[in-house]
Amino acid sequence: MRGIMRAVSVITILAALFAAQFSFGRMTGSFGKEKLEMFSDIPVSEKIAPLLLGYKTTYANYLWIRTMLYFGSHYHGNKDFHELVAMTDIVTKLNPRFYPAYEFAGLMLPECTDRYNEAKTIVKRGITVFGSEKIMLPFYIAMIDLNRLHDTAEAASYMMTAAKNPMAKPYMIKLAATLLSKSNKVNLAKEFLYDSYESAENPAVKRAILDKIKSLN
Amino acid sequence: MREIFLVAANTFRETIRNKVLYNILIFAAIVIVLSISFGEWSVFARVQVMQDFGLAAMSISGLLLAVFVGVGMLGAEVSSRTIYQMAVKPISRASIIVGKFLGLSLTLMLNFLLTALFFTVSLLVIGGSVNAGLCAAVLLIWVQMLVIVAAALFFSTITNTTVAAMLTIGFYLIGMFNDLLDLDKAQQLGPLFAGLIKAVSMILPNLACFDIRSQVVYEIAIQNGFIAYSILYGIFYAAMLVCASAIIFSRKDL
Repeated sequence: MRGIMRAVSVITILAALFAAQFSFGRMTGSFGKEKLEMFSDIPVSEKIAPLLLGYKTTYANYLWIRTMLYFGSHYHGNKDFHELVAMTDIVTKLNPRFYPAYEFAGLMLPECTDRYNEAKTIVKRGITVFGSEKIMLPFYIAMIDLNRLHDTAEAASYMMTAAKNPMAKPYMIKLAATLLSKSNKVNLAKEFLYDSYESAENPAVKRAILDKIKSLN
Repeated sequence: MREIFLVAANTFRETIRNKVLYNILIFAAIVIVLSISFGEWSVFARVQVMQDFGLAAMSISGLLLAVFVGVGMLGAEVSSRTIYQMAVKPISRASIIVGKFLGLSLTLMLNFLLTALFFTVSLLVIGGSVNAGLCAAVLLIWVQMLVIVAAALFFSTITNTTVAAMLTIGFYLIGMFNDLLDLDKAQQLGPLFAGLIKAVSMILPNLACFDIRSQVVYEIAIQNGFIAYSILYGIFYAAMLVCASAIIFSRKDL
């Protein structure tokens, strides 16, 4: 009997809480509408890290999930992504080894926002962390420079970094040479292509480089 | 030796009947199962995010268990005076402390085995796999919690349960911050200050050395011998605290 009374009390309290929430929502007119987004709890600096007591990467993952939820809801909503750069930035600062955040910064931030230099800064952080381990990061920066900032010389320099990686695809080498020649560095383009030809082991890659050298001549 | 095992077995039986243990276990299991959803929400790197949340849940549940069950084990017996029943038997007080520590260590091990089982199943469900690194990370969390249990036992020999719980949490916080003491900067302030800082950092526990979760999850190289060093350090530190507790408890006027 006592157990039943206790269960009834708990259910009554829950029902009262739900009713209060529902009526408050109706009074303020917010029920059923998009929830107010709160970003005041998102840290602005990585200096918070020591206070996270060893749960730094876990907190960064939590922020990453929030970033994805924010991106998803706004992508299907008002397309306003003004918090996205700051959120991605803090995720990479708290968990520098979280590669998807750099890919997101390189691919989606330039697409959704016009803060290209900030996107570049985040991807550059990734290059510092991963070095030559992740070939696509300098490629993304080159693409931001080329397509958004229209800086061919800077794009050529990053594309060359990507193309010098032993795992580089032939199109990267060709693209680097094209960008160098477009930024009036034809000799450097040829030099780079000769070097790449020497170091390449794959016959298909060698053939592609040779074709590019011929086109420059 | 036999009396130590008897106390340990008794402590183990007592703690597994404790409701706190089940609450913490349920909490850990829920978080670990939920971490499958966290992995899904992260869109990319699902396995890494799930591993990170899972290991964090194991670590937090271990910490809660170590603090609350560890502190309550001796403190509650002293305050309710049930310790007298044991004290009148031909068992030394040092054996009671060592036995209690071993019993709590066994309970912690059981907690980790159960949460590790949940973790493994959840990991396999989303297509991940268990490797040696993950096992090492769980082992080090267990060793870290042994140090916390030893500290909880130590504080409960010198003060009441509430204060002991607060001191144990403080011990954990200091242990996590110890790694941040910058000895190079201290050198700039003079040799005396540097020596003092070095002495403080050596006396206080360095609990951050048991945390290899992010290295394991994000495949960052771990120095050779680091895991073995950390285990030995943890066992040594816990042993020191248990010895100190035994000495204090032997001289305590019950």
